[in-house]
Amino acid sequence: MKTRWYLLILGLIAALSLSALLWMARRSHGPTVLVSQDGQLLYTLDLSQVSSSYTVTIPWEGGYNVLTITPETVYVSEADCENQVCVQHGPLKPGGTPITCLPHRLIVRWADAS
Amino acid sequence: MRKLILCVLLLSVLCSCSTAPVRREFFAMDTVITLEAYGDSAALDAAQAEILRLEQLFSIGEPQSDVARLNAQGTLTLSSETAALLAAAREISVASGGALDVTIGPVVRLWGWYDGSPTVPEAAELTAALALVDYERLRLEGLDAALEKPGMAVDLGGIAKGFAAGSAAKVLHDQGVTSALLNLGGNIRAVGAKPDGSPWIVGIADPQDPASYCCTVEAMDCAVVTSGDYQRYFTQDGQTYHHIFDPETGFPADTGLRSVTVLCEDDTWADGLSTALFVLGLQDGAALWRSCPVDFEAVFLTDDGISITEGLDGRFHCSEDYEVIAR
Repeated sequence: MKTRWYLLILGLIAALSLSALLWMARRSHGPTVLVSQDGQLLYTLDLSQVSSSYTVTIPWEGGYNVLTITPETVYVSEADCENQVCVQHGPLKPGGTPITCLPHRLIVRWADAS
Repeated sequence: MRKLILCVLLLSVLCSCSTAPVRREFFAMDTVITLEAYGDSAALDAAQAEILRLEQLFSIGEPQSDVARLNAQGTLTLSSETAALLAAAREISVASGGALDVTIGPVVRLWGWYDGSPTVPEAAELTAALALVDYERLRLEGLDAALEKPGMAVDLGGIAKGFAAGSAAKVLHDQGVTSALLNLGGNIRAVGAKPDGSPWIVGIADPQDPASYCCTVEAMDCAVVTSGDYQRYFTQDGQTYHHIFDPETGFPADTGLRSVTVLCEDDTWADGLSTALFVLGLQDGAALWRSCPVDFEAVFLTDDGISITEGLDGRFHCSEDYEVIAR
């Protein structure tokens, strides 16, 4: 009798685990970009939710970077930093290197990149 | 039967707990630093604190740092860390015939890199600055350091991040972390392997398109450091000038290399050697690989192709053809 109860609990846990997995799978996003500045996460951008391009201006101590977000990628379209490395980097590429603006302590990268 | 079912229950609960790494990102040593470890965040706190502590010793722009005070005063009793770093730099300078020279400070200053507005200097000024570049005239005796000529200046930009990466890795190790990946602005340190035992995969940026990686190397318990002409540069009169100086000429090294990646168990050597190899070029760099007292492997990227040292064969992955340099 007790064995039956244990089997029932085991079955329940298996069912719950499966539900959790399905929920996480449904919850999982399309390609996601993280935007952080000085170690603080500013934006989590799910590109699958982007229907048309838009821009976001990120200020930093009197300066700024303008991010352009498209359905496919993100890039720094304009900045007033002295070296312009972030602008010259161009769009994030799948599996590519992050965009870094050292003067403005800004990092733009894919969420799944380690 | 009951015990068996209990074991299954316990295992299923344990398996459902995923082991995600803890991650830390911050700015220090004039770059972005990312620490990722399989362990608790206290270990990362300690590693971060160690990097910030070393920055206070090595930074040329921090007035109270060992380097700034040595440059200002000409003599100084150093912290043990700075003394160890300068001693290692000297060994690399000797091994590379001066291709790495930490007394390059007057040249870097003249080119305007410290001001953030680099320009090409006048030839006469460059000649005067070059006369102050000579690692053999940086005297080291225990913790005591002396610059033998007035105006000499130490710049640890080509080697300090490596030392810091190694020190941070040691802190993590002491905290019981056996799996971590540290990235100090291109100075990568693989601590152990991934949790599943497989090696870390480190991407090497494509110099033609630094937004992409062109190849990867497998790394376990070693440093992977890249020096490239695309990392910091400026353009003047249509000409591009990068930040890695040839101590012989006082100009950005021009040997046809676009980048060099060094894999070495010693982080400080990895960092110093990547700079030295970039200055030496492919042929002389391969000669250094054969003669160096410290074992390392390297990936050389030129506009014409890719060369790797033979110890990397099997650990290097690239869709393009590449040459293997034999010992």
